[in-house]
Formats: sequence, structure tokens, C-alpha cells
Amino acid sequence: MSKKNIVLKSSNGIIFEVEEAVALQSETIPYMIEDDCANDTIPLANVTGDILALVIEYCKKHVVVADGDGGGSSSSSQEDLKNWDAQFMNDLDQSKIFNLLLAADFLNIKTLFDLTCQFVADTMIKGKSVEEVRRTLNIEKDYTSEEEAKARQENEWAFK
Amino acid sequence: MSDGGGNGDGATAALRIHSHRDREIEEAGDSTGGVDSISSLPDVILQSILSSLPTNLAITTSILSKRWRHVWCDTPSLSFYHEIPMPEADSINKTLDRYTARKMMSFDLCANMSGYIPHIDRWIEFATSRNVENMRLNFGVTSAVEIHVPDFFYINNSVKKLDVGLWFYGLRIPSCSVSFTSLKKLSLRCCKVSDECIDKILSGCPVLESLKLFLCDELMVLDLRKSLRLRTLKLERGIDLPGPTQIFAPHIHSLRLKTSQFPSCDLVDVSSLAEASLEISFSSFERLRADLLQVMVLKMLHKLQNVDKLTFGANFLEILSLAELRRVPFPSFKVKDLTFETMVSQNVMSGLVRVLQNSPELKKLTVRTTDSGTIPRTQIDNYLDSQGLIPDQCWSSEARVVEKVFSFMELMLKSTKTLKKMVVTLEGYLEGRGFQELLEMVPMLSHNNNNVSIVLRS
Repeated sequence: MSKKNIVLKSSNGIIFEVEEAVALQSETIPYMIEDDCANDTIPLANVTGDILALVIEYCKKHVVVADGDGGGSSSSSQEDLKNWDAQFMNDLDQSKIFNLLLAADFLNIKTLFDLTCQFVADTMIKGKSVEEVRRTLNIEKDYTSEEEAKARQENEWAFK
Repeated sequence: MSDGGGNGDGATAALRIHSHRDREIEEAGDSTGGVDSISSLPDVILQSILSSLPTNLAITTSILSKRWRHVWCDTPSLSFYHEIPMPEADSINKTLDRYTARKMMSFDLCANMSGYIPHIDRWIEFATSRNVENMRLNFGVTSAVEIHVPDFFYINNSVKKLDVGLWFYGLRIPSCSVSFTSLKKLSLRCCKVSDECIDKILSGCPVLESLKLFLCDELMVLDLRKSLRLRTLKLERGIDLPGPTQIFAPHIHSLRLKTSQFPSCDLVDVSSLAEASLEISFSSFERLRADLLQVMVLKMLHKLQNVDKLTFGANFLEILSLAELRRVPFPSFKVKDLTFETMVSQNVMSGLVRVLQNSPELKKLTVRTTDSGTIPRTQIDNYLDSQGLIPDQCWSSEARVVEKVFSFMELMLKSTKTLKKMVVTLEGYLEGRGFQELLEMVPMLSHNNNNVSIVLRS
């Protein structure tokens, strides 16, 4: 049984060849295949090679494999995937994470996008003080004290 | 570029990174598009990040920097659910006033303060007017006033997922006709809901795919014959709040049932079922009605004969074992994928073996160990005594845990001939050295039993 491959090209010209099922987890790619000739390389003008490699690593792990005897997606393998996802995210630095968000958004890979959003919310915002969030995310405070007090006052209840 | 096509293992995708020295692709190379700080991400992405946070936390990002001042206002989700303390009604009103998103994905509200009551209708209307797709509403707890769900609530074209908890108040029969034209998933928790009420609600859900009823008493007959698209039913009956007692669900493919022991629960029609998970809830304060339970459980088994994928819980298996010890005839099953969520105990063994022996098409067996069922030992022993029954002795009482688990696995393997794969998760049972020891014994087990592939997890 021959499987169809799809060739993707990152913004910095790196070529990736992947099985169709892997690539089709992106809801954007099918449109690009329809637009172009299917045999051509699909250029991804705003995803760099290192990020595309991560996206493909994720998609390969999450491709649904029909394993013939009695279904492949038992709850334990769901658990394995969850652990894999956690490890995958943990290994990334912030810049990679933010660019991965952009790529997942552009390629419209919902599960990867949601996973990354959740990771940022859980590890960089939740349970941290405003000052800690600023430090974690490298956000420069450009409010004057008065401006900050005013912004705080606007939604006072949320800061209790 | 030469491309060999299919390479050896077809199981995973072929990924090739050609480090680019090629001339043709030079100038595209400069990746200027990348970002290195969160603040340079577009608003929609920041809002997606914020939408997984409770609203109060999302709002606190407004003082991070000027960039963040109004980001939260356009977040597609609002959640007033788990905050402690809950905000005053006035704070929620002010938040809604500042909120600017025209389209809402989700709205979660735990309306557990009496001060909320005059505002609830407006809040629901607020979310509805923004075409909310997921709505989670939890009423009650402290309020003594019965919650009145407004009629307009029942006419909604946008909501796809609806989760309502009433904390054991009654859900009144809607006085208007119901129209949830997009609703796919409905969940009712802790509601007193009459047959008539649920019938009326379901009559207005033409595309409903999944129904979850968690501790909904008063319900007697759950009639899902007209819910043609319904595929999944999740039902948990309470111990003091049993309901429903009869289930007509000819279109569902998947059933997850946690039933109480009394009154009996009857799966009258589940003829399209492909997947089922069954367990019995039992509180140690209850008196075990062993005979009644066996009748109920066996009646259920007869309805599960054609199901592909089955899961049985520990209490369910204990009752099956009682029935097997009493030599009650079991049906045979077409199950291919079977899961036991059980303790490693002689009390479940005879039922478990019987199910395996009666499953001639079984391919995969999964065992997830739990500490114990919730039916007290003494109650089972008393019943066995009263019937003059003695459970099979599977292993000596001095056997070490490793030996017990080993013979447990061995007994299961001996009871089935068609099995290809067995997965055993020994959470909390065996760790470290014991687990290692068992791992070393696995190849022998596999070898002695048609080379079944065995996966062990701790």
C-alpha cells in the first residue's frame, strides 16, 4: 500500500517530506494543496524550519493510526499522549513556544494551538503575582504608578 | 532530489530535513517573522491564552503593561466559576460592561450567591446575545430560593454544549416549546428532573449527540427513542437519589453507566451499542442487596452480548463473581476489547474468569488495578456464608504481592485463547523492585500463552 507524501518548505527554505495523514492535521494545508498542484512543494512563508520541525514532530506523534485489531486509541494510550505532550512543551524555550503558537494558529492545528495556549496560561501566568508574570514573560512595565493604580481600580474585584 | 519513496517501517511518517546548502533557496532564508516576546503576539492569540484562565485572573493581566490593558476585554470566554471568594454581583456587572467580544465561545457561571438571583437572567441573556457556544451554569448551594430558569433560555440557536447543575433543586418543565437547534452535548447535574421535563427538553434538541445525567433523581423512564442522533449516554445514579429505572436508548453507540443498587436499573433497549462501561456505586453505609444486584447485573449482561468494547468496574465484577459462584448461567459475548478496573483479589476472580471464557472473540484485555471496590468485605463474606459458598482459592494467603499479581495474570491468560494483547497497569500495587521482578517474569507468561503481547505499566 503506497502512502502519499507531502513536501513542505519552511520560510528559510528547509524541506520536509511527510506522510499526508501527518500533514493533514493542519486545516490550512488542504487548501494549499487544492490551490497548488498536489505534487509541488508547499511553501510556508511564515514558519521557520526549526518551528516546522517541532510542528511535524507533534503531528507525527498525534497522527491517528488505525491498528486493525480492536482500535488503537485506548484510554491508556491517551494517557501516554498526555505525558508526551507535557514533555514536548517542557523542552521548549519561550521564544520557541511563542513561534509555535503562531505556527499552530497559521496552520490551524487546533489541538497543538490549545495545548500551547494552555501551557503558557498554566506555567507562566497561573499562580503568579503580576510582578512574577512580568519577570517570567519579560514584560516591561510601562505604566506610571498612577496609570497602574487607575488600571487596577477599574477592575478592583479581580485583584482581591 | 532522489527520493526512495516508502522506507522500511511504514508505521510512521518519513521526515527528511535537507540542511539547506542549496543555492536556489537562499534569500527566503531570513526568518524575520519570528517573535521573541509574548507581547508581540497578535491579540487573538493572547486572548486564546487568557481564555483558559478564570476571568478574574485574565483581568489581572490588564496591569502588566499598556499593551495588555484591554486585551482581556475581547477574550472569547468568561468564567466566574471557581473563584474564592466569588465576586459580588456588582463586580460581574461591571466586568460585563467592559467586555467587548461580539462572539463568545464559552460562558461559565457558578451562581451560588443569593445576591446573584436578580441578575442571573440578564447574565444568561448577555451570553446568549453573543452567540455563546459552550455554557456551563451551576445554580444553588446557599440560596434557599428555587431557581427559575427563564423561558428564553430554552430557545437558543448557537449553544453547542450546555452543562447545567441545580444542586438538587427541581428543574421546572419549560412552559414554552424548547429549541436548541445546535445543541450537541447536554449535561444535567444534580437536578430533580421529571420524565415530562426531560422529554420536553429533548424534543427541542434535534442534533443532540451526547447526554450526561449525573445524579438526576425523580427520573423514572429515560426515553431516548426520538433522539435519533444521540450516540453517547453517560449516566450516574445516586445512592439515595436513584433514577432513571428504565432506559430506552436504541440509537446510542456508547454507554457509561454507574448505577446504584436499588431500585434496579433496566437497559430496556440499547440495541445499537458498540461500547459500554459499567460500574455499581455502593456506599459502605448501605446494606448489600446481593440477590437483587445479581439479577440486575445479569440482565444487563444479556443486553451487552453484541458490544465490541466493554469495561467493568470492581464492584460490578464482585457481583458477577457471586453470580458465578452460584452457577448462574452467563451469556456469551462478542467483545473484542475488554477492560477490567479491579483490585487483585480472589473476590473478583471467578466472575472475571467467566467473562473471559465466554468471550470467544477477545483480542485485547486491559487491566487497571484499583485499591479496592467499595463493597465492604464483611458484607460479601456474610452473603457467601449465608449461601454456603466458598470462593476459589487462587493463591495462598501468604503469597507475596508479586506472586499474587503473577497468578492473577496467569489465570486470566489461561481463560482466553484468542487474545493478542494484554495491558496491565499496576497503579500503586507494585513499585520498584517488585515491579522489576514481575517484568522479568513477563516473557515466560507470554511464551506459555500463544505469545500474547504483554505490556506492564506501574
